[in-house]
Amino acid sequence: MASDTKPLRCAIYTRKSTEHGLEQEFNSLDAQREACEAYIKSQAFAGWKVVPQQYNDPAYSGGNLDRPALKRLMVDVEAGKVDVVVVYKIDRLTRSLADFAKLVDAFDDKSVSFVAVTQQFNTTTSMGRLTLNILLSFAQFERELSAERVRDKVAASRRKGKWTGGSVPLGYDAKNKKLVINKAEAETVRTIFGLYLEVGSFSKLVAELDRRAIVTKRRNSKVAKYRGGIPFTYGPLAYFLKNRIYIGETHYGGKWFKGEHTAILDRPTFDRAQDLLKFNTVKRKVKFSESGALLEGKLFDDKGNRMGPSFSSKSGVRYRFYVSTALRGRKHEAGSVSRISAPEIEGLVKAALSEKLQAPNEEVIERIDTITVSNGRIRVTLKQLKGKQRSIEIPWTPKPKGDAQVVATSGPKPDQKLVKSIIRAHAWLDDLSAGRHASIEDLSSAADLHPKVIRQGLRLAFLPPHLTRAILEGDAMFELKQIPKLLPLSWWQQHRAIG
Amino acid sequence: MKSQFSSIEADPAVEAELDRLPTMPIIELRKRYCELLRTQPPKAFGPDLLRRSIAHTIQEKSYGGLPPLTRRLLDQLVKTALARPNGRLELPRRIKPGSELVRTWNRRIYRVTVMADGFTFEGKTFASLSEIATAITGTRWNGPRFFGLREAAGREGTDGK
Repeated sequence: MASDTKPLRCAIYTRKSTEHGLEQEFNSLDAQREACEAYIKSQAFAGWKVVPQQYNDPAYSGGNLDRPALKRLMVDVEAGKVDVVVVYKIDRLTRSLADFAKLVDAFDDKSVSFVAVTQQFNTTTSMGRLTLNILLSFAQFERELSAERVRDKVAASRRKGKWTGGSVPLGYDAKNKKLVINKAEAETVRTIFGLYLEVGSFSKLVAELDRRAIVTKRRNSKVAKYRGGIPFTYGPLAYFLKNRIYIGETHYGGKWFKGEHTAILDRPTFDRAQDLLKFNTVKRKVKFSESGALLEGKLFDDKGNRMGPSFSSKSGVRYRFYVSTALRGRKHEAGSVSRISAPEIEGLVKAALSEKLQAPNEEVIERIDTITVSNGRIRVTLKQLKGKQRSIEIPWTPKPKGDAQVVATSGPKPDQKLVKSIIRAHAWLDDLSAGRHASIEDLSSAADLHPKVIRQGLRLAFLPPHLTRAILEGDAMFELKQIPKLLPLSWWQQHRAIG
Repeated sequence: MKSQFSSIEADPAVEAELDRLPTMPIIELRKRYCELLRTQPPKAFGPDLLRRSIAHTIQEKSYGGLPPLTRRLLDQLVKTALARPNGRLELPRRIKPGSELVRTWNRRIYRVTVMADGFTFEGKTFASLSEIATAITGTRWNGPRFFGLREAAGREGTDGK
């Protein structure tokens, strides 16, 4: 290779997954960089030159592309500032096969080649590409394997009761990766539990905590974010009061295990708090009919679609309906009745049930399990009473939809094509007269039609008024094809030629 | 209309002038156009268009042009055609006099006869379909829509909110 070739600008990319060892004066990133620089120097005869910009990603995972230096590199590649990307090993670039394909695509786009210093292969051959893919498959496998290892390790540690990190709960400090009791905070924990058992309600507890200036745990985190030290609210309080950490347990996968750390509370206190919590929890029944739709959740069409409440308004009046949910995009799945007036069906059902059950109107709705609406009948199934299922049928037919039709007088149908041609002719004449098009050829290219068609069509703008009128009003007795190609100038003769 | 035209005799003077047009040189045609329409002929007009325009104007002057109502209808249609040069041209649906509109509403059938200048319903004449629809239903209705002359655009969309 000649040394007078254009210099190839080489960008060195380095990455390291963990922070471990980064504080050293000469760390892994430097080592990677040095190796790359040496390689580039060895290729100096081919015009390779290092670009001054450094692309270093310290403590970034190779599992995704969310890395600042890599993003910078890609921007520079896109801008054509780089000819070769040099890395120490392929897995520095990425450990994901999918991401690698993306990167290679981006490189190929700009004819940027990339080189892994310690892994020699030639990607211009199929064998080289295979090698590369195999290498990357292993890189990805390695990554997934290590992730699995970490997960398994965390799971095992938790089951053994070890603290594996996370936010430290109030009452504890993390020391040597273990939870140790913080005496002052532990006292606060006992106070809060004691207060809760004493006052017995969250609202009173919060007021009391505020009075005593007891706040959530203050945390110091490396990154700026929400750090605690704020007054307690209901949600965090509930979490706090249910936290089994305080009786010396750790959890993993929704299960609690005996922990290594010391408990702050005794079991009876904690259990009493749990009982109180359970007692205080208001079991809210899922309540429908907020909208005043009594039958919400009970009404179905005959294909099993729920019929939900809906309404329309006209001049201030609200008309309520139940509408099959199939009408929301799955119209073909709707039953024979897809829409029913709410007052109508509510009235029908109430009347029929109170007659059958001999109960007042208000109570009968409670007894309904489901209602199925179909063309011809409404079937009401009642809730089981002494293991017996009862159902009632109400005969009902929906009001027929009105239809409209036109019974036309006999006679020739006006030729729609002719009407359109006339209008088109007048529009063209307008265009030309107003100078919107300088010539018929101009107009023809704008209308995407042959000039001949336009010349032929234009003559229809000069029909005798009585014919134009007859055509427009639909009284014409002739069709477009009956109009001769060459129309005489005289209306008189035109009339004779057509009529 | 047709009969009306047949009753008018062709004006020999007009016919004579029309006969001269095909042989007239283009310079003369431009001059004549200028005289008749009191404006310079557009650049795009070749001899044929000039001849046709001149002939049309001459005849309009002696026999009369489009009646004002038809003129307005035509202008309207042309305007929509020009506004959307490549769009489909929708023609207003016109029901011929003598046709009957049949509408079933609340299980009853109503028949309306279309007249040249209105509609007959139950022996009375109405100017608009909306009046009839209102009389039938008791609420305000768009007549053409009630009688199925107009597609209810976007009605499906309001179903089942």
